[in-house]
Amino acid sequence: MTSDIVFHVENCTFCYSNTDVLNTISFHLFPGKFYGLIGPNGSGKSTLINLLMGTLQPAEGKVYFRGKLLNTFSRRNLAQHLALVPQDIVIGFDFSVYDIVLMGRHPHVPRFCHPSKEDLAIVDRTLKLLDIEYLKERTVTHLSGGERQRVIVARALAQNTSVLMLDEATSNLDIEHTIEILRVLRSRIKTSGNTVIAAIHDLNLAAAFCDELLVLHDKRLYTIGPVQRVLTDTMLKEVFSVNAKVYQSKQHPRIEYDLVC
Amino acid sequence: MRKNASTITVLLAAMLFGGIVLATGMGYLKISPLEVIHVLYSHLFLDSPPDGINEVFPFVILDVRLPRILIAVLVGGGLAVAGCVFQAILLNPLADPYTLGISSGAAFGAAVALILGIFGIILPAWFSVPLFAFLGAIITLYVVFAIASGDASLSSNTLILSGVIVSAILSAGIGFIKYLADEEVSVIIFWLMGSLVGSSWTDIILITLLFIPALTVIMFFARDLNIMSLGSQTSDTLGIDTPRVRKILLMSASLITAACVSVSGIIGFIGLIVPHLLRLLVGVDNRILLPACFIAGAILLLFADTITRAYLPAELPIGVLTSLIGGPFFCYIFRKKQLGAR
Repeated sequence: MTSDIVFHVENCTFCYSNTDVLNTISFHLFPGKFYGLIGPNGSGKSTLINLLMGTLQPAEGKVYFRGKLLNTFSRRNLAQHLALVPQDIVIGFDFSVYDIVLMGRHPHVPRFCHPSKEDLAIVDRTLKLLDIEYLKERTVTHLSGGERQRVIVARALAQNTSVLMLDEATSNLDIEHTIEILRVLRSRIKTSGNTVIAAIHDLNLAAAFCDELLVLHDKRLYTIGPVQRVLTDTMLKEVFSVNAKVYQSKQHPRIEYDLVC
Repeated sequence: MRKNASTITVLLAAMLFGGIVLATGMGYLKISPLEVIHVLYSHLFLDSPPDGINEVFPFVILDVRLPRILIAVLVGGGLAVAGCVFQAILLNPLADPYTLGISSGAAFGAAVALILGIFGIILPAWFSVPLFAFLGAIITLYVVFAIASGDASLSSNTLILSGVIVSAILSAGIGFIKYLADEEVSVIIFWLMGSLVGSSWTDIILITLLFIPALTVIMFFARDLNIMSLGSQTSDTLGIDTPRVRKILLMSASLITAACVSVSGIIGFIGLIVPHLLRLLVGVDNRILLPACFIAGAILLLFADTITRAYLPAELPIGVLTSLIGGPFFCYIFRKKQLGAR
């Protein structure tokens, strides 16, 4: 096993009270790539992300992060390497947008210390990057779903980790902001060699932005590989039960669904 | 953090100090604020009785009024801080020390202590009531956690549910003890409704000894508490060992509640209403909110207690008064918040 591998997942099984959610899954993830995690509802995408984040422990099997067992890292240490944009975000208290994004610096700021100039600069830069500077002073409870989602993405980016995971983080966003966020992620991968793992429902978007796809189906990893190879008519039929035609264009494949009613 | 939060906190602290001095002067025997300060100053720094002041005043101030006033300050502050912690951890702005059943546990313990006398086991009440209340609170906390522990992540729903179950059982237990107590029942009832009558310097020492470690721990984790108030998934991924920190904070807040209930009986609404109000005033950052809650809770309970002690013709149980003031007021902010959210 080379230490170049970011994640090494070995025969992982996970169950919620006796019901299998994931069954003996194994794969490797490499740095500097955009991984799309696709699969029908309830195929275990969120569970897999939680396993990779270390917030759930596999019932069987092992998850290695950079060659070390994931559960040997401290929470704080993990938070310096892995960031997550969760699926549903409920914020019950009136924190300001700025405070929320600043929380992304929590794993980097020692206890009882104030955030350093650098921390604040990172927060400002991230707010600018996602075009949410104008929300800075607003309280999160008064934002629209889409605005809130961008704030949470900003928090995860401010965490400045080498791995970023998104659990259907663009599901509340309009197409403009979805593309904006996916672009920001792509440029992160290019400039800092980050790894992104994103559960995405829109397969055309996944095809456009991802390098590789992990397909979950029936509790198992159906396949993992480059978009061109994974995205096929057969896969769409077998995994998603839809009739569709995949057109291979120069840049990325494009899917046309058979929508006959 | 809001820019003016620190200013507000300092102002509140000044109000509390002023309030203590004023309240000490109030009562059947009126003493002017200057005389109160004079007596306190000479007691603390001069070691000799002050000149030119009624000889009874030092006794009234130091041995009668001040213990009760300081207990009001500590209990009010403690309940408000505990409420604030419970609300942030349980992600529920309507949670308070009672949601987890801790006060019911303390009340049950106290009722047991009072009933023991009827069965001929005579223990000194000043000692047995606080002790049993405290044990009741701690045992309840333990049971609530044991019931909730099936859920490894100790989610807020599980905790609140097990709190509700345990308090329901305990209420039945208290009812049974009241039935057994028959003639002694008034003592239990007065205590269940909360009272600061008969507070002593011993109570103050007891409560302070419990407060210092608990409050230190809570302030230590104040920043973590901010993040935990966004949910356990968020705090997990931002580097906090959520189940462990949650347990530590719940224990500390319960210890504070138990200490309060064991000296003063059940005093409701302080833990619910003060954190709410203060969030509107100083914002939601727990690093400033927690100290501000302590001071504001202290002011509120001191105010309520001074009314029943010095102004009402007959002494009203303080818990009844706080609920009478707090209940409608809480309805008001709750409604306002609902309308504002639309």
